[in-house]
Amino acid sequence: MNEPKIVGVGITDFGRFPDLTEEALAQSAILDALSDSGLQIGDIEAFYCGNAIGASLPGQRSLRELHTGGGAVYNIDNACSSGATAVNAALSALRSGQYETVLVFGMDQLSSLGGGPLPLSRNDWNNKRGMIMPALYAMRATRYMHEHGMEVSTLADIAVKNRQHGLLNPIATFCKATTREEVLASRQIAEPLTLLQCCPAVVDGAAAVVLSTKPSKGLAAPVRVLASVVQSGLFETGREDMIEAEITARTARMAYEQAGVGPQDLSLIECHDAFTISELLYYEALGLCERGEAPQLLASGATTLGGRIPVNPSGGLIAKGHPPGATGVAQIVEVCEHLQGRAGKRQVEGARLGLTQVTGGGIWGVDHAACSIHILSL
Amino acid sequence: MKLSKRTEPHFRVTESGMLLIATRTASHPQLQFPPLDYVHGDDTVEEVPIGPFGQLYTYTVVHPGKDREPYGLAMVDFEPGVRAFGRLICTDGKAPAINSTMRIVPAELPDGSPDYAFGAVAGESA
Repeated sequence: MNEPKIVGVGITDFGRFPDLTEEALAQSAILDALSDSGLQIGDIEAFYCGNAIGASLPGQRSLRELHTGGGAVYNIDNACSSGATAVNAALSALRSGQYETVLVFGMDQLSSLGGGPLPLSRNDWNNKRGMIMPALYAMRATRYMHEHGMEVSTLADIAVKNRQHGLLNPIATFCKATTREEVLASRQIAEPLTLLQCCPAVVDGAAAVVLSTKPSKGLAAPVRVLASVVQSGLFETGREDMIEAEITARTARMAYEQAGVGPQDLSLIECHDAFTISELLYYEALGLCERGEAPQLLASGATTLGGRIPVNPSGGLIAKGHPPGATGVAQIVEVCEHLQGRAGKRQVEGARLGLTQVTGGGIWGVDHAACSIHILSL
Repeated sequence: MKLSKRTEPHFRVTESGMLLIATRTASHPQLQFPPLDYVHGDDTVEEVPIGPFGQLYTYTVVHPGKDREPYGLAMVDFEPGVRAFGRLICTDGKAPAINSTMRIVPAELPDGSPDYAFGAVAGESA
C-alpha cells in the first residue's frame, strides 16, 4: 500500500457571490484541483463533500454537470469541521485500499442566508435561550480577561494581524486593512467582541484537494499527511473550563503523536479564528505556549508572518470569511501551497511542516461538537 | 423499546426562591442541568434542586442590531458542582461582575412559556 498524498489543490475566491450557487463554486474548486493534479474527472473513484448549510445531496448536485463516472459520493456534515472531516474519511478509505484516487471538496454559500450569525439548531437548550456562536466566544473572552488580566486591545490585535495577512492573499476578496482603534470602535456584537473581531458572516467559497496513492502527475510536489485526527466533544455536565479548548487540546495531542512531531517543529498553522479570542485559546490548546501566555505570544510577533510560527498566514477566517463546509479544506490548500513554495507574497519561508485546526458546532454540554487537525509536510 | 419522556418542569418555585432541577441517574451519577429529557430502560432518575443562589462564572451582552434590544447571557455556578446557562438580567444595561452572587428569577422563553433567568443580588452590579 502506497502512502496517500495530496496531489492537487484548488480553491475559489472567498467573497460575496449572490449570483452564483454553491454547486458552481464547488465545480470551480474541483476543476482547479483536477488541473493542478494533472488528472481528469474520470480518474476519480470517489468524492467526499463537506457542506454544512446547503440542502441535501450537495455532493451530487455539485458533481452532476461535471460528468463523473458514477463513483460513490459521500456527503459529510460536521458543521464547520465538515470539509476537514471529509478529508479524514477519504484518507481512511485510501489507507484501507478501498480506493486509489479520490477528490475531497467543501463549499457553502452564506450569501443565500441573508446575513447574521450561522444558524444553529433551534431545539438546543442554549440556543432557545439566545445563544449564538459569537456569544459563546464572547463569554470565553470575558472569562479569559478575568483570569489572565488580558486587555480588550489584545483581542483587536488578532483582527489587525490576520487582516494584514489577508491583504496578501488574492482569494480574500472581502479583506480590508484595519487598525486596533477601528476594530474596537466597530459595532458591538457580543461584548467584548465587536464586528471586526468576528469572521465575516456572509462569505461564499469552495476548496478541493485530490488525494491519491498513485505516483503524482501534479504541477507541484505531492504533500504527505502525517496526521489526520477527528474528535467529538465530550459531554461535560460539571463545571466545564470554558477557556481550556479541551477538544482542540485533545485532538492536537493525538495528531502530534500520530505525526511524531511537536508544536516546536511546526512552520505554520491555519487555525479556526472565527472570533479573535478563538485564536488566542488555540495558541494554548495547540501547545504553542502555556496557559495564560497567549497574549504575550501574540505581542512577541511570533505568530505574525516573518515570526517564529506564523498563524493564519492566509488571513484566517477573520480575513477570508468562513463558508463552513469549505473552511477545513481551504486551510489544507493553504498549507500545501506554503509547503510547495507557491504561496506568493504571504509565503512562509522554508515551510516544512504545517498544521490545520478546525472546530465545528455549537451544542450545549460540549466544548465543540467536532474538531479536526491535520499535519502536513512534503 | 422502553423509552419514557420526563414531563417534570426544569424549575421549581419555593418559599426560599426559584430553584433549577438537575438530574442524575444510576448509570450516570454526575449531576446535569438541563435535566434529562428521556429515560432509557429501567434507569432511575433522581431530581436534585439547585439554587436559589449561585456565582457568576462568565457573561456577555448580545447586541442583535436592527432595532432589537440587547440581552444578557451568563454561565452561573451552583452547588453541588453545576454550571448552568441562561439569560442574564442586566440593570441599566450593565452586567454584574464575575463572581457576583446571582439569584434565579422567573422569566419567559420567546414563545411565552415559563422559564428562568439569572439576576444579580442587590449591590452586585459591575
